[in-house]
Amino acid sequence: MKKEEINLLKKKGKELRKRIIEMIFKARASHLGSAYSVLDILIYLYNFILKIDPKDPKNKTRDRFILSKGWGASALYAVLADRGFFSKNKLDTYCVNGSKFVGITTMSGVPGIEATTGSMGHGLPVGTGMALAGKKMKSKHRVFVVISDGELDEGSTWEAILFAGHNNLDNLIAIVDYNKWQSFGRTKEVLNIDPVPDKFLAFGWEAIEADGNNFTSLEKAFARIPLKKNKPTAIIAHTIKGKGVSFLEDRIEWHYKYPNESDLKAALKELSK
Amino acid sequence: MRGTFVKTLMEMMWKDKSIIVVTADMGYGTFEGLRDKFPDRFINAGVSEANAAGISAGLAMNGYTVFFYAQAAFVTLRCFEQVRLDIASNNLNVKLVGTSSGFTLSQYGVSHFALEDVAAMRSLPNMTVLCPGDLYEAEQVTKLACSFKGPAYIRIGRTNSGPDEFIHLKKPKLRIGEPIFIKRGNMATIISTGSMLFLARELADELKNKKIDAALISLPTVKPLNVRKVLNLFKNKKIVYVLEEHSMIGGLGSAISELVADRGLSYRVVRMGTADKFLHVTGSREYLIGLCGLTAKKIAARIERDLKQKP
Repeated sequence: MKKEEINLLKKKGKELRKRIIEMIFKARASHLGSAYSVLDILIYLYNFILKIDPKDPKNKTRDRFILSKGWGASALYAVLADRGFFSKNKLDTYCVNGSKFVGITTMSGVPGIEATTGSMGHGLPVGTGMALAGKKMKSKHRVFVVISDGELDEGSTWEAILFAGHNNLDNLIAIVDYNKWQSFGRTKEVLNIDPVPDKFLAFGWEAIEADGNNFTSLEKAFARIPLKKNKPTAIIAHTIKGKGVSFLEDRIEWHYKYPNESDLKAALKELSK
Repeated sequence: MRGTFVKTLMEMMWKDKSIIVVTADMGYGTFEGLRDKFPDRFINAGVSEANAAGISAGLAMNGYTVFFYAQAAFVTLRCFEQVRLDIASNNLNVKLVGTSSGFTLSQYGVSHFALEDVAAMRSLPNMTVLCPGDLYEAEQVTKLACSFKGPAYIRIGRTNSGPDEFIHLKKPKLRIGEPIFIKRGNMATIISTGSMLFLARELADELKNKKIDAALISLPTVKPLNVRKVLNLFKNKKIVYVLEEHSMIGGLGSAISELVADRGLSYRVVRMGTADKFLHVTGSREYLIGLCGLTAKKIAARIERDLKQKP
């Protein structure tokens, strides 16, 4: 990636962060920290990696994307709108009565949403099924699933990891948004999941680590996928919860709290610098 | 009944290339033929029901008609939340097949009894619940499950232990939600769903000895029910007895009671299911069903008493 391209992505990151905090402020919704944590990964995937056509979101050969950590929905909606899956003003209906733009990604008919997720440990099994279907149908599509670090506590996630490794699903790419926080505390303190790459390797995957909030690092990690033929790929993306606004960063409360007016102003000001 | 299910499924797989089977490591002695004939359309996900449910959803989203097979207790309850969210909420074309339902694995105890599966599946929107009672019904239900797009639960149980595995004299015409008359009768109505059909026939014979002319009906659908046809079974204010190898809470007996209660009808429904308690004992299927008071003799005596009390 050229320097100008990286600067453009960074600019996009700031603009979308502004949009997301406005959505969450207006809806008095939660999960701001989760959305900021995963946003750069989504921007990178949707602009450089995924073979998708916003005008034809159900094309059979498209790459599939699942945000298994469905509570990051605001970030995904913002990125999908930015890519032209639907008009940007639809984002104003986030969490509004009767809206399809549900707080946690739901197959409600929003173009580009491929699975109902957010109940933890669901996205990877469903994505594994999609990858298996791809192999069976001899389709070239790939399946990308972003899971949270907390989802690595769920048995069903490991069942899918075991299955995908055993079945050589090299069209499956799992990205762990590893921000080191889960619902009630530090991942290390609640239920330590380290060493994450070693666990994937032991289950027959190929794994690589990256900085999930750094486009150059993401580019390097995604340069050659699958990392190994006949093996599913895990990209352990180290991220910062709340990344992009200093007072939101690495703090558990922004998993739950919605910003008040002065939080919003301060965040918008910082993002405009 | 398992054998009939697999035979029918294989026949359908020859015709319909979209059918694919996912099993959670179940099928020893049953699925080998299918696996060998259709190696590309038979997936053993290992003992991982939650993952298998998710995989089934992912396959169905890509156009497959999925038969997800495991023991009844596990395909419904172990991964209930995956079935609810991944499959039912998206109205996906996944047919759950629960084998060894009720007390089939009677010697194994509580872990392998499946007596709450119908209640769980019935509570899910979009879910069709089908409980075949004999081999004819098993064949038809399997075909019926493919006649619509959307999730279904097929509950496979035991027929009887002897060679006689048909109740219907000829292949009945099965429609979703509709009762099938095996015998007409004026004094009481016995509705049986699924594997209780053999006991129900014994019961009808027992009643005949007592000169009680009862109607015997098989109702292999628990959800959705054809309301008009089901309520018709109460004609002339007959008491309706609902037999099922399932907890008396949440199964067909409950479903029919709800129909009656919601409409404020002064009909009487008697639920004849398994007791609302865990049985921490082992034994034969007949023994355990008997512990729940479900023997032809006991039920016949009960019906006799009810009819005497009836004004």
